[in-house]
Amino acid sequence: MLGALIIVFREVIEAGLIVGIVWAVASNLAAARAWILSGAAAGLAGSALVAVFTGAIASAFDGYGQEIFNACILGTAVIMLAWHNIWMARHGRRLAMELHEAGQEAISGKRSLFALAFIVCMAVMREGSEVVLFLYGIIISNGATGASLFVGGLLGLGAGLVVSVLTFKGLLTIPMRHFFTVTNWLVTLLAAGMASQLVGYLQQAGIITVLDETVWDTSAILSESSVVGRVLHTLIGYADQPTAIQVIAYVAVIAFIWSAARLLGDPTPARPSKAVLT
Amino acid sequence: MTRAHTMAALAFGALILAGPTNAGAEEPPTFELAIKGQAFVPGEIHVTAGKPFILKLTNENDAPVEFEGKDLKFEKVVAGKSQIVVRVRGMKAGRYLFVDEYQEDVAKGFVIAK
Repeated sequence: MLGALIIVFREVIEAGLIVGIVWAVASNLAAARAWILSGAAAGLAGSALVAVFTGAIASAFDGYGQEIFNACILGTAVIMLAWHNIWMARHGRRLAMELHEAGQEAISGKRSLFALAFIVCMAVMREGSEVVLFLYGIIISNGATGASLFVGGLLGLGAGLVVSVLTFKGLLTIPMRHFFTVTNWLVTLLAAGMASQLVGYLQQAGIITVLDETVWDTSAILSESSVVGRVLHTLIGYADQPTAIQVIAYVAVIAFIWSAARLLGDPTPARPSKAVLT
Repeated sequence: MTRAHTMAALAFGALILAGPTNAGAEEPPTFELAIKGQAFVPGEIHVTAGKPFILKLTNENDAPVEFEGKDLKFEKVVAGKSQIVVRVRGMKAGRYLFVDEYQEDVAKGFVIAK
């Protein structure tokens, strides 16, 4: 039962942390909740679909279908997160000041909300499909322990949700003037961590074979499979034995988002009278 | 937003291109194993230390398994009655545990690198 609890807890936490951050990030955009909830619902439906087609996905691309699939999902999420952050750099200040949007901004705001809903959908789908498969396995193996495993799974689900909600509440206690800085960094690190995972999958699939030496090994200090390690892995992309190309991808994404947000960011702060729309 | 959009796409493309594909590289050796019920057969895989290798796992159960080697750095779901491959990086000499995570207390095997 403990095993089931831990497995489900872990998957829910991974998806839940991402949903929590996205929810906090979007909490002062109108209509965000509906978008994010529909993203989560689509993700749940998607995870059932992915679970059904696991066999077909896995055997695609010479048996590396699962890695390619995960890499595509992560790649899309990285682009969406980067896009959102750059969009926020352009419009966030004004949104924070006015707390209601109009005209052009509402339109691009909706696009940004769609991106966020999409990330939620991806996160829920990826982790959810593993939970669905796990629970399915329990049901069809119909052991005497099935019921207790199921209870463990439900407890894990509850515990994961509690941690996610606490993360979200914690984020909301950040004072408004620091809020965008903090969430922008969170989203940037989230994207960088996903990029490094993406590269990891491409290495596993044998698509990237260069720079695959392990850069450091901190598994003795903080194992990636411990709960704290897992949480840091999801949040900031912590890896206990990353390869060189993973580190490069991580740094490159941070550098890209940071510089693009600066380059394309709101050009008006120095001259607030000359507000320029896209 | 098109400019940001394009830049994001370009950066992603550059990321993929940063790692050239292994057109000329030789394929690492493949080791086959199966999981039947709660047991991996064979339960031990002997590999050369420092050299990458491929594990080909056949799941003979009806239930899906999650084939995972924490130190071996792989984690892959295997549907019932199907087969997958995982590529493992070169490991230092040692004994590395892999499990079916869905029943990790009992379903265990080892990779031994020498």
